[in-house]
Amino acid sequence: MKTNWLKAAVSAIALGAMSLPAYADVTIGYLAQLTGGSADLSGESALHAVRMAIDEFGGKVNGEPINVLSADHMGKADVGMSIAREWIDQKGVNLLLNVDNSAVALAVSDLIRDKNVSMMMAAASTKLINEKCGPHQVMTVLDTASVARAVVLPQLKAGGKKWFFITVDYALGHELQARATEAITAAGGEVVGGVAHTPTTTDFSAYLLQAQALGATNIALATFGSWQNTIAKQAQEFGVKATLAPFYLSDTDFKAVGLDVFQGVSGTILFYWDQNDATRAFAKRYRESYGRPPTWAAAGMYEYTRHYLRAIDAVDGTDADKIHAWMREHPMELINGSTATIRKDGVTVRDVFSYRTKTPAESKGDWDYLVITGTVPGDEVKPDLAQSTCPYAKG
Amino acid sequence: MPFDLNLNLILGQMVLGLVNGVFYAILSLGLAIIFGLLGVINFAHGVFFMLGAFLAYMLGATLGIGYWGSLLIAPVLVGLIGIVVEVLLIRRLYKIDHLYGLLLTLGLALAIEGLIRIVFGQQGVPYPIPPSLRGAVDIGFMLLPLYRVWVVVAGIVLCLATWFVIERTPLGAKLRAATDNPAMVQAFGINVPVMLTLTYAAGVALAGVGGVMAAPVMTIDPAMGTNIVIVVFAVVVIGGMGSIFGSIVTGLGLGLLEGLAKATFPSASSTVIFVAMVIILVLRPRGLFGKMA
Repeated sequence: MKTNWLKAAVSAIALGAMSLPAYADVTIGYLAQLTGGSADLSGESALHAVRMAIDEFGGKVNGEPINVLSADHMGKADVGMSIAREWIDQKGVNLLLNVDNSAVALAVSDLIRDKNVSMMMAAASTKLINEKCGPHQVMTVLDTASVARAVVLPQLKAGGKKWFFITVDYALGHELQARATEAITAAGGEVVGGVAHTPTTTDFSAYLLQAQALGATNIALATFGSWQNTIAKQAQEFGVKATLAPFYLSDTDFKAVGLDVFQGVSGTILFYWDQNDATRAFAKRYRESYGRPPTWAAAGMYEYTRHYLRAIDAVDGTDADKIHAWMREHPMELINGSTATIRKDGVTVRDVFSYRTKTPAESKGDWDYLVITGTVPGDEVKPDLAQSTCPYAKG
Repeated sequence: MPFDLNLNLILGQMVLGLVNGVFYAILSLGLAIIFGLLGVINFAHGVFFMLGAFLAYMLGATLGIGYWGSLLIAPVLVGLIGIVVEVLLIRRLYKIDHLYGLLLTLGLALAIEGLIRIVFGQQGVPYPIPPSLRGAVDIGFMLLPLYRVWVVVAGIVLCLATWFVIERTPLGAKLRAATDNPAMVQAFGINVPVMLTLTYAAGVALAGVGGVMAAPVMTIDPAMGTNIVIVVFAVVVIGGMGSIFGSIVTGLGLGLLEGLAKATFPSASSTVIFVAMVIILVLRPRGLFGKMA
């Protein structure tokens, strides 16, 4: 760990000292939420995965060092924008990475559209792959419509027909609710009600009671992090019978409230560390330096960083047009041994995995939380390219 | 579903509102004591609430101490932290404008919250409901978890006991006198600075009790105190800054009001308390129970 920091420091100084490098350095600007709701899932832990990918690549590409800058956008579009602008204008950043907030990503998207700068964003707004797509823009997570389908459809098939929403009062929450509602009504289900909660809500029992009073069979949690965990905890306390449908459940959530709170929960996930030998080997390396297994968000950052560096190596330079063309033409190698493809609208077509939570008796302890029960092919989840309004997706 | 008037639902929401009201009351009581007797607007109050919950978790995780033991020990530890804070920092602000106390405690709150975030992460830690309080009671219109019944009963008893000590015992009388005229009370041979230190400690220890009581039902995370303290300040303002009895009644009352809003018009539930605050401030600037100057 120490040596990495040292390398980063040395290369940062080197960057300042050299006015005209022969080959351009590659600078990755890691712009993420380092405090707040999603910080444990992604944040520093995913930055660690980025550094791992760089180290394993050799720390250099085309003979030049790979620099990493990092900053906290705090979930605010204006903060994210001013950092991105400074990095692009003064630090020569080639890639803005993570950008895990739709409001921030939408703002940055306009900033970089005509520049030689890439963005690989863990932001899920469908706008980012439609009217706000870009030639150098890749979405590293499922978009809200895909997430909604992936979570809602299996529960509908299992007989859950009456849905209630507890939605975080953000753009993300409302978009998730809207997309999930479309999926539910299209499949013959019914939405019986919903509430939007503020970021400061600490008691959700009233909403759970309302869901029960309305006869909901399923409660969609269009929220994440501690809010989602509190809802699950209080649902257990009140003996709520309805099935919970969390959209963004991760290993760190089980760690935070305990596996027993999420009993009988099933859903879908992009990566789970204990899925197969390849993921376990990666998790072992990651854990040796970070102390816990990687979340799906950290695994994603590793995969995209590696794919991006391979592209730079292959095209022998930092021309964003060439890099993105290469990344689309070549399948992206995933940690679990399979591959994914990146489309022109920035969508990544990749399989997702259905899971159920382990019972406390099945679990061998911390971080042993899920059983992977199946694979949902990427083709079933992906948004329809023919319906995309992204101008770069045509032709 | 804004106007779904189902009687059982309304009653249920009001009961849940009362549970939240108990937390508001315990927290605003501590704030009222600290402001009323020391003149300090203690913005760090929410952090002491959060520390109570984290200490309960730590006592359990490291020493195997259960809920009941933590309910006694954690508030004492929070009180001790309060003593350190009062002696090192807050004491220096009694003679100057209230605003400085507010700024100091706000800074302190941000620093402590940041520290807890570094140690425990953003998402917090788990805490189970004690086995003796699991299950639910049927109160006719809803199944109320036993633990929430305990919170209501214990919380109200705690509030009334605190009120009794301050308003009806010789100790309370000395305290009130010491803040009114410290020189005179000192002349009677009472160590005023120690008394003020202990008052601050008791005020934050109350928040600590609230934190332990909240641990099994809320998620223990670094922001839990900050989230609730904003509402609690509104409670104190509505009740009348420094009014002990006012803070208890207002805390419970606003919990009920919030519950009623959740049953009838959920979108308004997060703002109803602040609307009430605006109305009260316009009509009665010193709050419902505040003494007129």
